[in-house]
Amino acid sequence: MNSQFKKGIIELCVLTLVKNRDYYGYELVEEISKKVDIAEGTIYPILRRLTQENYFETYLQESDQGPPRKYYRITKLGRSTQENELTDWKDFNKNINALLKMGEG
Amino acid sequence: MRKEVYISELSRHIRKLPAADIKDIIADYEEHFTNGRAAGKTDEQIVQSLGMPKAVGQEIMMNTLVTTAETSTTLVQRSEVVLRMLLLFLVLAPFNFLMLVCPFLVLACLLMAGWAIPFALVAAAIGIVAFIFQNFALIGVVGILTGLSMACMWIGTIGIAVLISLVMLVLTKGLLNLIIAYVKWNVNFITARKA
Repeated sequence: MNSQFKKGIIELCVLTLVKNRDYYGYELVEEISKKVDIAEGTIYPILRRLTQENYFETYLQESDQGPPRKYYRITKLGRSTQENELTDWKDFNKNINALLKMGEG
Repeated sequence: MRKEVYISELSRHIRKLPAADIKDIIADYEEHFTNGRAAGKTDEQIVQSLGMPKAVGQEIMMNTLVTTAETSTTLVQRSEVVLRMLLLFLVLAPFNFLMLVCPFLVLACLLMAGWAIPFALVAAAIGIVAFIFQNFALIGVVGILTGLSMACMWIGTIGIAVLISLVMLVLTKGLLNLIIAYVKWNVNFITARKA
């Protein structure tokens, strides 16, 4: 698939994962790049921006392997944003699928 | 590429950011390397899936410039950020930049010409004052009415200059916003690829 992904979609993926549980950067990035072929380095700027826009809070937690890790936790604002964006995405998908079905005849 | 090289390259590409931001950003990538190594990966493998430091750094810079451009309040500040944004945009997306460059140059020239008008008027107003002072004795000769009409002309000139300046201010802001919106729409795509 084309590697030019709309940032909004990656953003929705990130929001959705963190909504389910707290993640540290590395595991979140791995989770996404397992499914989507994207340069992992570009996910950190997205995490940073979502944090700056108060969708996430971060905290440090000790790990048994080395230095403490930065965890991301979703905020109330992040939760409602995720819900809105998910609805938008589902509507978009539904409409596009309907359109593609028309093409199949 | 080893971790240390990657980190120093990335730092070089984002060196224009505030020191606190650089520290934060670099910490994220260092943590990524630490976790990747703990998961048994070599630095080469980690770098391969991260994407080259240059591409990642440019992506970070562009994101920051777009945000700064949108939040900067003064016109001078905003113009400066937009210029830097355009320079980076030239590197990131040369073809899209070329599409932008012709209309941009034309509009920029028109704007400069527009800004020249109020400056010319102010210069004229200063000229009038100078003329009055130089020929102060003349007023006695030409009479108080001519003196008054000259004063009115002076006020009128200043007024028109202020008016045109205000219009130009709105137009300049409009053009800057247009450029920001265009670049923002273009950088809505992630262009950095895996190494």
